[in-house]
Amino acid sequence: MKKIELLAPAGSLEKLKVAFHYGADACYIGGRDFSLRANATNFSVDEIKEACDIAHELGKKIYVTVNIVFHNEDVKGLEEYLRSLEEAGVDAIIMSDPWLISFVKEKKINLELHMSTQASTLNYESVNFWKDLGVSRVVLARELHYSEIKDIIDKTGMEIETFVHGAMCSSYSGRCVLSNYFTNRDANRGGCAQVCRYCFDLYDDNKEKVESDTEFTMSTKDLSLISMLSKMIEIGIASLKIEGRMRSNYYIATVVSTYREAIDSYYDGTLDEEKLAYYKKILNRVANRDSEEQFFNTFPDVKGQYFLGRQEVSNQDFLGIVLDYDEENKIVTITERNFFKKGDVVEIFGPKTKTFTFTVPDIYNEDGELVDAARHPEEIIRFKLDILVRKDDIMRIKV
Amino acid sequence: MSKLLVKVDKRENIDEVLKLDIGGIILSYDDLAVASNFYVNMDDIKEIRKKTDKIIVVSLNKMMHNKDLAKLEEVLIELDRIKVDMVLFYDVAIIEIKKKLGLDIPLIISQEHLNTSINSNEFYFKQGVDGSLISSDITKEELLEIRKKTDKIIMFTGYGYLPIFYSRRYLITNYFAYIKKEKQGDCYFIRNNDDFYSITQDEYGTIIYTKEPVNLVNELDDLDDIDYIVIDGFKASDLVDVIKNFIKKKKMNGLYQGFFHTKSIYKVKK
Repeated sequence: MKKIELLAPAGSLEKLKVAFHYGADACYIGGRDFSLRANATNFSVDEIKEACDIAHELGKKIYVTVNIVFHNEDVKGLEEYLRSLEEAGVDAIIMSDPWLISFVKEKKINLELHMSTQASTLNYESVNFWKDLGVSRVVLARELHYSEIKDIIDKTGMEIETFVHGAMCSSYSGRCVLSNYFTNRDANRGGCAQVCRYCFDLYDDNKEKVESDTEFTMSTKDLSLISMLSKMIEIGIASLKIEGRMRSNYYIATVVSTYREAIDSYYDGTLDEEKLAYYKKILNRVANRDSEEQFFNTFPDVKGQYFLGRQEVSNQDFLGIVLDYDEENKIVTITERNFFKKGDVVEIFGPKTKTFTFTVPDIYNEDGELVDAARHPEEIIRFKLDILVRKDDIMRIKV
Repeated sequence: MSKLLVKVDKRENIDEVLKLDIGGIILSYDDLAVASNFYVNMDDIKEIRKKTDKIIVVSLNKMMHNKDLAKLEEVLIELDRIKVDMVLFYDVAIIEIKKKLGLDIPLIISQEHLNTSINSNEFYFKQGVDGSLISSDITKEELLEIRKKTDKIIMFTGYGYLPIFYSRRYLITNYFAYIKKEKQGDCYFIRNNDDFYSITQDEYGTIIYTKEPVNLVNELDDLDDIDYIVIDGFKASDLVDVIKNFIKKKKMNGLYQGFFHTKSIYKVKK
């Protein structure tokens, strides 16, 4: 049985390295043009080349999003761009406008094609349509129950990717242009202003306001399918996608490492309820929004919605990154990310460091002076630690 | 010279609408179409076919799940047999089924926000699609450029509330469950500044529409090369009146024209 792919987002080269370091099999990234998330930093062509080199050195893959819905004017520079992706060694592009299929063929550009979730593919005949045209993978719509996904896989034999974790559009992907009509920003060309997360007064058919302390919103909770992992593997999904090209390094490291561990546990036969409960706890802590299983296992109701406006609490769990470990003197050097102090109960984890818990001992600043707390982001802190840790391991509040 | 195609808003209007100087009507098929307030079945279509020689277009614009495909096949076979003039569709499964079954029925793609360029339309034309109801998210210049570059059937919405958000979720039901109040009906409004946007829910999910109907009656002289101007009767206060205004090309003030003269932007940072 081919092991399921863990596909992580990367908004920068640094995040890409984090994702690979923590166990992603592949990363999807966006270029500076032709990609949704038009207002993110995104990758230059040189950076895409570097990303491919890093990935291939590790036996991993890079997929590049070329997923805008094109207008007549958007084709300028596209051929050169796609040729540069081919030369960079990109493993596939993720596209939503189907004319790219014929464009790539006509121009004899050798790029594998993945159909984006933006196409909202929901049934096996649509998958067959894309398959007949040479698309090698379809990212299914998020509005599918697992029995439908299984049916699609069984009837088409297509390589199927589905989302496993992260934020969701409230609408079918591609069928929301609230951003266009409310803010003039084109959602399907990367300008989405996330109007679905705004709050509104609701009025009845006679335009009488519905009185309530809670405003109406379309906003949904995030997706988390860690509990469904075994089922996702068993029905034959090829790739599990984590959402979030604009998320932090800490988020990427935590989510990727958790799914990595869960997937590996499944294949070595050790994934059990206790482990799943622990993974769930970690994933719940790292996000600043609640999550649900959404459509995969049931039909989402009020529990799948978010009615708290945009009051998302900033996550302070991420305490620092290990810069160095002096094995002889058993001293760890940490660069601080959030406040911690002597006596805090914390843990360290990393790709090769099994998560362990300890109480912060006396801590010292870069000049070797005893300090009562680590208060400043990027402050260098040293303390005694008997357990071996490695560079780039992460220290967080105990989950 | 464009012809008018009218998406009928209620059964009682069909005869009156058909008497007007229009090219034909669009009928939304029960359980296989969305964004309408009037749906028909096969018997209805056969009945209407007997009444008129005008064009009959059947809308099958739902996004299909596996469970819809058997019915979809049956309906397509029958529509092909009774020689309905065209089928409007969203889901590419329909192209696949048409190919598989060797049907002749002309297909018009109608993907609301996705048919925004000559290239994406050309792609579908090469797959055997006969025409396109072009997205209303583009400008007049873009539309006319698309028109110029193809001889396939081009349709454009001249009048109607445009769906601008479609969710599979029951967003109104969920909200009322959260605030613990009873939902009264399936049609509400959300308010943004002084604008009210209609939000409706049915068994297929929740749709939000534009604050006003797009009305391009003043633009008709420039749209002569568009094969069909669609008048969507959904929520029209007086559909027959709207059609008459379009037939007369009656100029009006203060009409909402969506993106017809406004380019959308997407890069807000340098």
